[in-house]
Parts: sequence; structure tokens; C-alpha cells
Amino acid sequence: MRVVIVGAGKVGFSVAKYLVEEDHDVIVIEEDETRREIIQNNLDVMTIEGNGASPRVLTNPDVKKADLMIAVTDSDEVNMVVCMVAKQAGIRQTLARVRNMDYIGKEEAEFHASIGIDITINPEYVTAVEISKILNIPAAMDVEDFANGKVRLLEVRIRPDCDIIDIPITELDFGYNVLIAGILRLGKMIIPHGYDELKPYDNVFFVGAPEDIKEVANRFRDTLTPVKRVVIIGAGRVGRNLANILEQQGMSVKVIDKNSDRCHLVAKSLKKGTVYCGEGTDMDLLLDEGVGEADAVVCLTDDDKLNLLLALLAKEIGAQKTIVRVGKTEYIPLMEKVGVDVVLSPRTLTASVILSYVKKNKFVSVSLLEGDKAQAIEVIVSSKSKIIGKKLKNANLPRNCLVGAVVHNDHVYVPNGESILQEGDRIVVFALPDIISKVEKFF
Amino acid sequence: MNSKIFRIILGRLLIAYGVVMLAPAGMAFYYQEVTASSFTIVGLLTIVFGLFLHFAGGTEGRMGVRESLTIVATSWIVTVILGSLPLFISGVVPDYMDALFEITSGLTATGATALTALEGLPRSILFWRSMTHWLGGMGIIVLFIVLLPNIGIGAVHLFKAEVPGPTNEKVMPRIRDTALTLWGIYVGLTILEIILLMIAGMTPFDAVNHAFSNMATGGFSTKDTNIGYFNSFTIELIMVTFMIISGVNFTIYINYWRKGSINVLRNTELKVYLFMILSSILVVAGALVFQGEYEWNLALRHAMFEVTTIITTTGFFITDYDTWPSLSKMLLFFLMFSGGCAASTTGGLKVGRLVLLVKMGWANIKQAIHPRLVINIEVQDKAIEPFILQRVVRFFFLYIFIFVFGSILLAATGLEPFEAMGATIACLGNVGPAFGIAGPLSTYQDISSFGKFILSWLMLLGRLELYTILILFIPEFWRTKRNW
Amino acid sequence: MNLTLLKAITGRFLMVYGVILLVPIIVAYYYQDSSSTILSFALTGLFTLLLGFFLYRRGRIDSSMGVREGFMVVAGIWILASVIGAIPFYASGSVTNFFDALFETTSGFTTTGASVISNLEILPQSILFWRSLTHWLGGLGIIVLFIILLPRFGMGAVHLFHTEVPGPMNQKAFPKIRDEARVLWLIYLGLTSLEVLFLKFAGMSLFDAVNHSFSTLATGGFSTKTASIMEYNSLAIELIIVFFMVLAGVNFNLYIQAWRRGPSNVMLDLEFKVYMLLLLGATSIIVITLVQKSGFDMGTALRQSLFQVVSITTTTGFVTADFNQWPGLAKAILLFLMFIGGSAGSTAGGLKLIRIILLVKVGWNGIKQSLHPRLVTSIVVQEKSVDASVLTGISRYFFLFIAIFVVSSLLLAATGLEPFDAMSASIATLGNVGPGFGVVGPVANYASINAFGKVVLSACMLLGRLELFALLVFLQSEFWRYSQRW
Repeated sequence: MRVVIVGAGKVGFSVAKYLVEEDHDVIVIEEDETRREIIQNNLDVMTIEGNGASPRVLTNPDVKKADLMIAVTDSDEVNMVVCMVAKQAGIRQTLARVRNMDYIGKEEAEFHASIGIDITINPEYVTAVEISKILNIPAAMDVEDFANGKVRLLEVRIRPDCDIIDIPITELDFGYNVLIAGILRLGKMIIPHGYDELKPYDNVFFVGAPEDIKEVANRFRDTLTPVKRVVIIGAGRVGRNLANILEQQGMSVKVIDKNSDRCHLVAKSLKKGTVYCGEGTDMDLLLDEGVGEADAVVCLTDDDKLNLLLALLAKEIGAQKTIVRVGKTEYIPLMEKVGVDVVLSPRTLTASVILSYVKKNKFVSVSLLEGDKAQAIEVIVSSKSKIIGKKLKNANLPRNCLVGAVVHNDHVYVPNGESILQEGDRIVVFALPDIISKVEKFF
Repeated sequence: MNSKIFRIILGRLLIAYGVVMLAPAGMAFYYQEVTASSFTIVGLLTIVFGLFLHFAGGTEGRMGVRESLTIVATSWIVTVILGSLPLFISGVVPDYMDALFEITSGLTATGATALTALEGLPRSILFWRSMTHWLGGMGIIVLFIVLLPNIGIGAVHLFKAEVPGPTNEKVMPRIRDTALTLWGIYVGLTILEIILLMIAGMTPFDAVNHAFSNMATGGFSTKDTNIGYFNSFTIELIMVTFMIISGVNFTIYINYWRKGSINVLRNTELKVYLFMILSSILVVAGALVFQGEYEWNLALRHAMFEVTTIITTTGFFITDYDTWPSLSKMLLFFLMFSGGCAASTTGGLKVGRLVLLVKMGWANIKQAIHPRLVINIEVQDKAIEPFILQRVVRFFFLYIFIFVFGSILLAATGLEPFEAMGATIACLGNVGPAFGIAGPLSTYQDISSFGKFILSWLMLLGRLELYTILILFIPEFWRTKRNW
Repeated sequence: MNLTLLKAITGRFLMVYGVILLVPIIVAYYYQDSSSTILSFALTGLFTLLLGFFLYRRGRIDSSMGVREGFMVVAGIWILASVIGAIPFYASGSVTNFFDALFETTSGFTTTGASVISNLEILPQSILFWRSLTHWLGGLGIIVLFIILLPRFGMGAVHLFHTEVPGPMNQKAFPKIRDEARVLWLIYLGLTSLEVLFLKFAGMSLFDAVNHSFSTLATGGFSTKTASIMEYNSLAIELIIVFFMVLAGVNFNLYIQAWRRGPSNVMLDLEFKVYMLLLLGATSIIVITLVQKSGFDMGTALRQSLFQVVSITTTTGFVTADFNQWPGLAKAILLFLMFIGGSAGSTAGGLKLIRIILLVKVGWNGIKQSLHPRLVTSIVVQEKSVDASVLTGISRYFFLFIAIFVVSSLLLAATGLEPFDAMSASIATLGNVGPGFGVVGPVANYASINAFGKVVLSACMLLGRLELFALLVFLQSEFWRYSQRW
């Protein structure tokens, strides 16, 4: 597919990178020369200097042939205009990054579609939703939904004191409708076989129907109580969005930020949550306001290092779970090692969302796991698929891929070697990145 | 309540308090009064209780804002309750609510009394009353900061909770030094006044009691007719002088002590304070002459005393001002709201706040014509931060609100509106006597127990500048899993 | 200061006012009032008309009105209206002292309802009508009326409206001030007509019904009877008047909203809810104390308490009982209700309920902040957050109101009034209520106050009606400086 990306900022770069890895043709339009150079020197893409909304750029034959236009500049309005103009110029699908909450909503979506913007993505909102999902399941490090919520993926970290260590997977009983789709061990993703055993500090990916997954989550609960009290440090966009979402879900929220104006902005939208103006590193403030008694502390400042420090401080005084926002994905494994419970990269999340849209034609949705270690793909089995009617064990699926769940006629089940897939089944497949394209061919 | 530091501080406070209580006990033994045993028992009990608390251990904790406020509130309530026991147990004051009212009035330096026939009461009781004034006036906590070594930053919180005023400029680097110096000046002035009063003709007993009462701007006397009993212009002059002195910002005295200069002309609050006293005296005297048919001499003499005593929220009186012409009474009523300067022993809103409020009101009027005008409120050429202004205005509203609420409750006990309002502000502002049924000569005895109960709370609210007591009414304060 | 503009506007106003002054002549003619009465209206009206015409010709509406002009117009028109309006009282012999006449007219236009006339029944009908008419006109503001009648005001119109329709958060319902003013007048007119019908039906004469309706909707308080509504001793009449007093005390903007989006909006309004709660609560407490302390039976207590509470909260000032005899608690509550007043955007006076509500929230936040020094608070009313500057303005207004009250009470005490009477007179005028306590109580009037006191009280009435600023601004020496900017 030919994709045009307008805006070579951080998100633009990430998206471009993933797309190139997936073997698409990517053109990047960016006005700023420095940014263009960075792209040019690091990625195998074509760059064009110019403003994405200008006709001159759009009439460029390379651009005109594009299948998809992704606008991710810093300005919402520019992104929207780019998409509208692109649509007019004949580009099939458009996607705009939009941060202003006023532009998000069902009615707005319909309006956007009618003027030429097919999809709007609010990265900060996406991140906030992601965090709230994780918070809602206390044991979780990541939670993803597929097949309209019928299939759920749960990532759990195995603690040293867990009772399921060193037992072959086939002997573990999580219920017949739950499958271990992947294990992240020491930075590498493994698609497990029956004889694999779970080790301490493994991140395990469970797949199944939501109710069954809930059972699994409960088993890992031990001392973890449902999250009721959350402290958010950093009242930027993500922080504000998250505070509102959590409050609506009934949690007690406290927000800390050092900037008085941002504090007032958040205070206005919160009904019961409280806002404190001060430094997150101020021990007195943290102790006075009971940050140590929080069920979860979410560190969302702009500074990765500060976020790490805050998370460690919070843990030190007794907070149960720490979630950190990070800009550089390279920091993720380091942070997890040092003791942060969950590390999120908004950039990765955004790229993930955009990618899943890109692949929409083939796949229903795509999720990137643990950065880019593996992908969970939701596919509908097409009539041309070679797999229909064959038993899975005879289907010759590639080594590093696993069918995690199948939704057949609205009924969810976890397949085994004997299972046979039919046309129209929705399946969730786990695969390592290098074999994704092969996977595509199968279904 | 479980925290170790809370127990240690409260424990030590109680020990000291119990020891102090032995002074009237000693006096009672000396004069062979019926209260001897009561004071001794309660005193010893307090000491024991204090020791017990002090050594009872408890959870380690830090002293944050919440802890400090709890300590201040608890200390005051506990000292009130304990201090009123001797009065009740000995039978001198048969109604416990009366005893509570009296001692609350004592410790908060209000001076409203429910006791009649003072001259027939045991000396130890009279002495104890004045003693509570003297202790409470400067602040039991402040006294405490002197006695107790390191409680760290918590001391600042405690100090702020007790020393009244809109802003808190620290005078000396360490709170402990400030507290010590304050008490030093306080003690010094008290001794000076005792000597002067004795020279003017008071008995040593009376001199001590009245000096205690005066410096604390309390108002208790050993006589039913209060200072009117002495009928001595000299005594009145001395007391007026010391009342004015007590109503000044004590940090000025500290600065004088350390740097040796007082620039009276520079301090706005002081200027306004003195101006208010002078002009009010003139107005009140004028009304007495033109509407009340007084002679100018007597009018000025009475006006000088009454105006000063009310502005400084002391509460002494030399005449039944309840019979005064309307304008004089009205002015006295409104002056009860004012109070003296910040960081003094007086009550009320404090002149400093009034100055800021007036400036703010004026600025608002100016802004009505020039909507985009930016005005900085300045006092003595220093700009005042907006958040301080915000606090002052909030305080003013809360004060009025509590006044309204209190007046309604008092009216519900059967008082006429003006009497209710008078009694409310007289207690909230820690003044003392009010009007009508709570007037200077009638004391508060005829007010119902419920009314006295409300008034006692009002006294505490006023003395601790509202917030310390008000937080007791937030449900969040009581939640055991604190902060959430 | 643009004098030509001022002349033109004032001139225009006077012309219309002159015509209005002629209206009572119809009443005078119908009821065959004395010729001196008819003449006093006729002459005053014509004189005003001519004066207005003269001024108008000398002036020119050539530029838009600035803030300064706006204030001058508001204050000027109110003072002129009061002074000129007093002439018929004096000239017809109904009021013997011009200060008294001035007091009465000011009380009329400011919808206070404090009267210096001891015997109303002997007055000519046209004079009684004039009194009520001043209420009615003053109610929604003479100025608002003139925004409708006088086009092309420019920016100044917003200023005028702002000082006239009181309240901290004015939500405009229409883009153009003129349209809003017009609709408000229509509502006003409609409700008045409705009340006239009801009262007539309940047994009042047409004349009385019209006068009292004028007075009710304006939350004024003038009656055609010396004993006020007590005279009728009719439960039906009392209930009707209570009903319309309550309506008059509601934010008129809510009526516009109810028309457009349905009545449920009205129920959701915070100020409205508090308003109703306050009325109910105060009534209940007073009923209890009347029954317990004064030995009233439940029915009478309820009837009298409800009327008085509503009358005073909405700052109307009609009376059906001598509440001066009531127990201390009832009197205290009534006194404090005078301070609170009605809703913003209504014809009621006082501090206005919304201000009190916001101040309480501010106070509560203050208490929370003493426990959490770094807490950042915000005040939200019905999903919309309130700007800090609005809150500051309200707090300072509160202080100024109290300050003026204190000064006024002292001045009145100087004239010889007892403290409580002085305070009640101050707030009864500052809050545009009407009757106070004691010497100026419900069955008495303000006649016994000396001239100086009456001047002070008149000033209070004006200050209260114009929400302080319009007049206080005059105290500013800078205001008078000739050149515009400096």
C-alpha cells in the first residue's frame, strides 16, 4: 500500500518506521528541513518538502497515487485541512491526529467523515483509555480487546512467589477457554508450546473470553485490591483525560502538577477529584496527601527521567502500582527492570492504532505488544483462505505464530490442534513481527 | 490520635498545665479555701495523665498540617475541660456548663463571665480565672514551643494556628526564638503593669489578677463592677495604656528589642489602629455629650476607657454602657468586629485585615470605571500577593457567616435579636461583655446552657481564627484512612 | 466626558418621562381628584417634556457611549427621575415636606417600599397610582425600558443594562441587548396583567388590583392601604400575592429559558433550588417558634410566616402581620433574610442569592484548603466553572455592602434611633425591602426619622438598587477629571 504521512514529528517517524517494516511504500511530507533529514537518513522512505495541504504537493504524481493519507502535524486544524483537501484530490482514505477534545465524539465523527476525514485519532485520549483499562484490572500490565470485546488479551507479570512457576503449560489449568498466547522473557517474545514452563519475571499473555480472563486475573490478585485510589502526577493532556475517565468510572483521583494554570484547568473539570499544586518530588506533599496509600500512581510528566523517579518514590512510600509514561521506547525494559509496574509509550500506542487502521483492509485490528515484540492480529477468515476445513495441526502454520482465540457464530472458543476454522470466523492470531506477512497470506 | 508525636506534645503540655494548676491549689491551702482539694486533685490528675500520654508510645509519624491542627484543637479543648473541673468539683460553680463557659472564656481571653458575686468567691478561683487569661492570651501552644525542643517544621504550623493575623512574617529565624522572645516581652510587660497598678493603689492580689487579665486582653476582674469599682482615673489610665500596648503587633516589639528602632509612622496597621481608637473616642464622647447629656470630662474619660477596651477586645468596663445613647452603643457594637493588630493578644477580625479589605473594595470601585485596569494592592509600598488577599476575603466572609449563624442560634434560645448579635460577636471576637441580657452588669448568667455552649464554641472559633476548629466539621478530617 | 452625548440621551429620557408623568392625569380625571393634583402632574409632565426636548436639541448622539458616560447616564437618570417624580407629591399637597417627597419617590423607583406617609387612604387616587407606577417602572429599570425605546446606543447599552439588571453572572439570552430587554418587559407585563386578573377575581377593586400588581412584580411594597395587605384579611389575596412575589424573585432569564427549552431547566437551576429551599426553611423555623414561643395556632403561624418570609426575602415589603412583636428568633431570621435578597436577574434587591451561594462555596473551599495547603480548588456551578475574577468581584462587593451598611447604621444611630432599629432601617433600605423593625416597623413608617436620616436612607436605597458601583464611582475624584484618559 502507498501511504503518505504529513508531519515528521515523533509520531510520524514511528508510524513511518512500522509501515516500512511492513513493506509499504511510504512518502513523508514535512516542511522542516532538519526533520526531513532525520527521516531521510534513517528510513527507507521518500521525502517531499512542503505543506501537506497545498495543491502543489497534492498534485505531485507520487502523492496522488496514495491509498492512505495520515496527517500528524502539531496542529489539529492543519491535520484536518490536509485530510479534507487530500480527499478532494482523490486519495482514498484519510486519517488525522486531533488533540482537542472538542473535536472528538460520535456526532463529530460522522461530521468528519462527511467532510473527508475518515478517522481521527487523539493520542492523549488513547493513552488515557489504555491506562484506565489497565487500572481496572489490578493484576494487569496490559489489556487489549478484540472482536468487539468478545476476546480479551491480558498481560500479567509472574512474580517469584507465584505458584505456577516451573510447571509445563499443558499441566496448568486456567480453564478450557483460556490460552497462553505468548511469553515475554528477557526482552524476547516466545510463542509457547505445551512443554514450556513459566519463569519468574515472565510477562505472560493470556487470551480468552472476558469472563474467563477475569478468573485468570483474579488468580494473580493475591494482595492486590481493586484500584480505587489513583494519584496522577502531571496534568498535561493525558493526565487531564485520564483524570476525567477515572472519575467517571468511580475512582478517587488526586492530581498533582507544579504549574498553577494547569492545576486550575484540571480542577475545573473534576467533580470530586482533588488537585494539588506542587512538585511531584516534594516528599512532604506526597506524604501529606497520602500518595503512599494510593492503589496506583500514574506518572505523566513530560520528562521520562522524572517519571521514573516519581514512580520509584511512590513505590518507596507504599504505593501499590506505578504506571509511567515514556517518550523513548528504549527506556521501557530498563524501567520495568528497576521496578516500575507498567511503562507506556503514547507514541507506540498511537502508532499501533494507526497501524491497525492501515491494515484494516486485511485485518480487522492490530495491536502491538510490548512495543514491537509481537503483534496480536484480529482477522476474519476469508473465503479464499487455504485453512478452511483443515484441522489446525495440519494447517502448516508458521512456527512463531499461534491462533489464540476463535469467534465462530458469536461463540468464543480457544482452539487446539483439532479445531477447524470456517469462513467468516474471526480469529485472533499472535505472531512475531518477522512472520506477519506470511500470516497475512494464510487467512 | 495514635501518633507518637501527638502524645508527646500533648503529654508535656498537660504536665506543664497540671503544674501550673498547683499554684491556685497552693493559694487555696494558704487561705484555707474549699477549693484546695479540687485544685490539687485535678492538678495532680492532669500531671499523671500527661505523664501517661507522654510515655505511652504510639505510632511513629510525621508532623504534617493535619497533625498540627489536631494538636492545637485538642490541646485547647482538653485544657478547657480540665481547667473547668476544679470550679465544678469544689461546688463553687454548681452547673458544669457554667464552669466550662467560664474557663473557655478564660483561656480564649474573652472575659465573658457567668459568675456573679465575685467578691465572695474563693481567691483561688479568682486567681485561676485570671491565670487562664494570661496563659491563653499569648497562647498555650506558643508557650509550649518554648518548652519543647525539636518538633521541626510542625512548630511553624502550630505557631500559625495560634498567632492570629492574615500574613505571617517570621521575625526570627527559629520559631522557638520568636516564641521565647514573645513570652519574654509578655512577662516583662505584665510585671511592669503589676508594679504600676500597685503604686496606683491596688492590692497586690488585685494588681496581679488585673495585670494578667489586661495583658491577655481578657477582661476578668475580681470585682463585680469591674474596673468601675476602683473609681480611679489613674488606674484607668494605666489600664488603657497597657490595653493599647497589648493590641499592637508584638513583632514590632521584637524588632525594637533586636534593632532598637520603632518607626511608628511607617506601619500602616499601627497607624490605622491608633487612628481608629482616637476617632472612635471622639465620636463616642461626642454622642455622650450631645445625646446623653454628659459633661465633656466624664464623657471623654468613659469613652476613652470603653472604646479602648472594646477595640482591644479586652472587655473591662467602668460603667454600664448599655444605658448609653444609641450612637455610642452602635459604634461599640461595630468595634467589636474590628479587634486590634495582627499578632497581638486581641481577638476580632484584626485591623490589618480591615485595611486590606478596604483597599480591595476601593480597587474594585476603580476597576468599575476602567475594566481592564490592573491594580496591585500595596501596603507600606510592598505589594500583597493575590493569594493573601483571597484568604483575607474568605476569612471575612466565614467570620460574618459564623456570626449570622451564631446569632440565629442564640436568638433561638430566647434572646432578642440585638442581644443575640451582641453576645455572638462579643464571644466570637473574644471581647467579653455585650448588651442587654449579656450586658456588663448582668453577666451571661441568664443565658441558657445551650446558649452558653454555643457561645463557648464561638469563643474557641474566634481565638483560633476559625479554621482550626472548622476543620473538625469536615467529614474528611475524621476518616481513619486519612487523606482519601 | 462627552457632554453633547449626555445631553441628547438625558433629553430623550426626559421627553419620554414627561409623557409618563401625564398618565396619572387619566386616573385623576376618572376618580375626580382635586384640580391641584391634576395640575401638579400636568405641569411637571409638560415641564419635563420641554426640558427634555430642549436638551435633546442641544445635544447629539454622535458617538457611542463609554464607561464613564454609561455610569453618568444611569446615576443621572435615577436621580432626575426621583427628584422630578417628587414634585407631584409636594405640589399636590399630599406630602408637606420636599425631603419626604424625595424619600417617597426614591423609595418608589428603587422598589424599596418604605413610606413616610402615615395615612394613605386620604390621598388622591392619582397620587396612589403614581406611587405604584414608580415601583413598576423602577422594577425592571427605567433604563431597560429606554433601551427598547431609544435606538442606537452602541456599546453603552451593555453598560446600562449591566448596572440595571443585577447579578454577577449575566447570561445573555439574545445577541442584541434590545431584544433581551424587550422580552424581559413582555414577561414583566404579562405577569402583571395575570396578577391583576387574579386579584380582581379574589375580590379587590380594579384600582387596588392594578396598584398592588405593579407593586408585587416590582417587589416594591407600596400599597393603597395604610395597613398594607393586612387590611384585606383575605387568605386568597395573600396567597395570590405570595405566588407572584415568589415569581418576581426568580431570575427572569430562567423564564426566557423555560419558554425556549421547557420548564425543566428552571428546576435544575442551582439558584432557584436554593431560593425555594430558603423560603421553605425560613418559613418552617418561624412557624415553629411562633407556635412555641408566641402561642400561635398552626394555621395562623403558617399563613403569617409564609407571607412575611416571602415578602422579605424577595425584598417586596408587603406586611400581613406586625412581625415586630414576634419572638427574637423570628426577627433575627427576617433581619438576615433582608441581607440575602432574591435571585440575580430578578426585581428583588439585597446581596442576591447567587452571590451568597458562591461565597459559601468559597468559604468551604477555604476550610478544605486549611487542611491541604496546596489544594487547588475551583468552583463549579451547574457544570460551568466560575472564573476567579468573578469570585473576587463578589467577595469585594460583599465587603462593600457590609461597609455601607455599617456606616449607614452609625449615621442613623446618630439621628437618635436605637441600635437595632437603625440597623434594620439601613438594611431595609439598602436591600430595598421596605419595612424594618421598631420605629420603622411594619405597622409604622419612616415619617419619624429626621431629614438627615431620610437623606442617608435615600442614598442607601439608590446604592442598593444600582448594586453599589454606579453611585460609588462618583466618590472617585478621578472620575471627575475632565480629560478622558488621565
